[in-house]
Amino acid sequence: MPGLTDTRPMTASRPLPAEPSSTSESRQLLWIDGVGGFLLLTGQAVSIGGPTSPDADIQLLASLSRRHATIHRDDGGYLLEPHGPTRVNQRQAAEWTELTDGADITLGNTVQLGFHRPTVLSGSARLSFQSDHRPSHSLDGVVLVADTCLLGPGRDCHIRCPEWEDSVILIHRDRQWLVRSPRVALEVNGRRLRGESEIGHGQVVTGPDLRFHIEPLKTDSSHRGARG
Amino acid sequence: MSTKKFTFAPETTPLAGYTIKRGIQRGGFGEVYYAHSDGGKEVALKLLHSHAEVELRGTELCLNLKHPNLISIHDIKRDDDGDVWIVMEYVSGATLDGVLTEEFPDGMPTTEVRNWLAGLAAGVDYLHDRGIVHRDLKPQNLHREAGQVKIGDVGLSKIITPSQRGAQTESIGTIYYMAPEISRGEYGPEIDVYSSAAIVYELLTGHVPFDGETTAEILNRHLTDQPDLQPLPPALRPVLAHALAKDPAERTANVGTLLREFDAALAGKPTVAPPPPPEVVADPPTPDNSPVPPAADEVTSAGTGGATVAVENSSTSRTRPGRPPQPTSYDVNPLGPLSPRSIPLSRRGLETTAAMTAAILFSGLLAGGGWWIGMFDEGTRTTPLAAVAYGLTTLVASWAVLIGTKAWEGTGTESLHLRRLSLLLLGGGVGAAGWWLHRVLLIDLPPLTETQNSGLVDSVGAFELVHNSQPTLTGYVIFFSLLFGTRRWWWHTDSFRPKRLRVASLLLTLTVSGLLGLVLRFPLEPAIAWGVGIAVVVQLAAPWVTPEQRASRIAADNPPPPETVDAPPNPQGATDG
Repeated sequence: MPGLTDTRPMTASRPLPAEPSSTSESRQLLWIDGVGGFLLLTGQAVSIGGPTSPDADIQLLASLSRRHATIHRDDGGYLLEPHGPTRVNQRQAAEWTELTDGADITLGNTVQLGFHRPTVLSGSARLSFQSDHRPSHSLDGVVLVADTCLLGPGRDCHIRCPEWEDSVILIHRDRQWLVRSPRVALEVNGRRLRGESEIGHGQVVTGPDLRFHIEPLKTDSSHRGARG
Repeated sequence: MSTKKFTFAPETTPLAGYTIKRGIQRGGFGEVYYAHSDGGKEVALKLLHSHAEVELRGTELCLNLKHPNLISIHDIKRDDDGDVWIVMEYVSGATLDGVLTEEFPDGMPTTEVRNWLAGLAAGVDYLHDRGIVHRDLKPQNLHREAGQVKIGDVGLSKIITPSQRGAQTESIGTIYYMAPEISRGEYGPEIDVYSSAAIVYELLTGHVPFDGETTAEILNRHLTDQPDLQPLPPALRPVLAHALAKDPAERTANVGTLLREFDAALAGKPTVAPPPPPEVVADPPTPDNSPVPPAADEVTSAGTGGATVAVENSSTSRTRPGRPPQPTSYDVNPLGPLSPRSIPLSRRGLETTAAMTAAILFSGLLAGGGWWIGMFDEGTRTTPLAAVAYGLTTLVASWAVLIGTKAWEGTGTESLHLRRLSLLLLGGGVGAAGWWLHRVLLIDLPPLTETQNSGLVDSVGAFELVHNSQPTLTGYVIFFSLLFGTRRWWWHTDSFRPKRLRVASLLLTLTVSGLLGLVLRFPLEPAIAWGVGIAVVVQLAAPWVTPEQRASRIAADNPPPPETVDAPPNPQGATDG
């Protein structure tokens, strides 16, 4: 586990990991019945910017600069690289700052995000919107997916689905999305799922008390609301 | 097992122009979806199932209302199948219900409550000002987005209400906040004040003011029970008593006034000090001033089909379905002897038999102890037989008390006078038995002291109470009758009594029996020995459940009702009101 304190400034000379990637499979919207809508980002680096930054991974309707901050995943940990005024846990983050579970991120004066690592078993993390700043549509959170995204009733899940009986795992592997559940009998588009199965746009995953699907995030706003 | 909860799949467009992204919730009235319009506007789509007799007039009236605290309705549309869709503003924030469950299961700080109440008051008063009654205010209908409280389902209650009578889960959510006069088909704006007050009560305490196992029971409690104000901050008790008044005419005039009274009370200058109804005054629960609820026939006339209330955990803070168990920190009004509950016949029989057996032991110990300390010495003559007579009389009296009071246990407060009368008669029988025992065993009670040479009562009609310085049959009968009739013996034997053995209660019995002895010229020593002896024996012999275990005892004795809880209540006028 890297780092002992929450906000220890890191050396600025750290080599920069890969640039934010924007291929379609790396940015997915996950819609879950009765729970909400979530943005799944798989890039090693995730950029956050305001409405005038079309290439930001998380584009918030907020008074932020085009590229306000970048969150890097590195050796299983997360580091925040500030480009504009940023605070982590109320402390000015002038340099790279490590993010640990429960950290508060303040961008500019008003945007507040929460950073969560609900389980150590997965390298993935979740960002929650704590102020009222969202992307142009109301999303309920962002999952920074390292390998897996855990959906389920427990507090150790990346996305909490309180009414579900048991957990479902979304896996990102070799630029593909897969779904698996040890204990929930799942169907993908009505066909019984055995083991794990690839899912893509237009495929709906259902279980006894759950239903969800993923959809690539369209950066071109003219295609919003495309029909299925 | 149903695999698909929602009718329509994501990414479909059952209503032209809107692409469904996900389901939000399902209820008895229909389904709600989150959808994007072709232009990218996010909306909530409410699908009303066509089989319901849909009355859309109320919704149409509300279609053009504009207020920041109301979730606006954009449009009402019909799809190709004839189903009705209501296109509404989508609110992303959590519902108040979710906030309570997730963040404040034990109640919110008053500042937080005030935020919700302020938004609620602004929205509801706006509706009332336009002549519209919401009729379905509940935490599930209140949202907060960007700090703004938003009231949902405006103008939909007439649609929702009829189908909700079908024992849907939603009806439970509604019924917790339902004003009593709704049972009479009255739907004035006062019902929204009542609902708002019930919501505020829940926000402050973490539990609804009236809870129960069945809808009929909850309705009944709205009609008859006074809310338990103990868990509330003292300053707010009169404010909520005012707003939860049973009589709509006495209730706080509107939600804005409720907010002002709330603020004034917290600021320490209550502008309104409504005379609270007598039962509402926050007394500690003392045995004899327990409010006697009106008879059940009032409920019957209110249209609950005369459903009898089988279980009533009168003052427990039972949690709502889906709410995590709450600590009993505000359980200041714990389960007591008068808490109505159903006790299985087997347990009742077993407990009574066990207590009667134990009474043999304790009566024997008492008589033996009395003999040991020389209580039955008469001059130079020690009389073990006197101890036997004393012990046997005490045992008979204790059995009479145990049999009588155990039979009533858990039946509530309806029959207290009947209980006293029955005890009076039982006491008469015990007196006769005592007299007969002393005659058979040829035992004299100690002679009357000098001070007792004249009593207030010497005879009843032609019957002397005392003859040859010994109580007559009449004397015995009247002494024991009054001893049984003046004390609340059910309080001594109930499994839910405050303490296993209450010394205060013994002292009171001592005083009562002493006074009876003085008044009736019954020898003082045996009078007191019997009074205290019976009180000790029945308390030691009767089973006792610690306060912590009482709720689980009730739960064990009252298994939850079957899935379809009861006949759905159908208040008159609900369908066309």
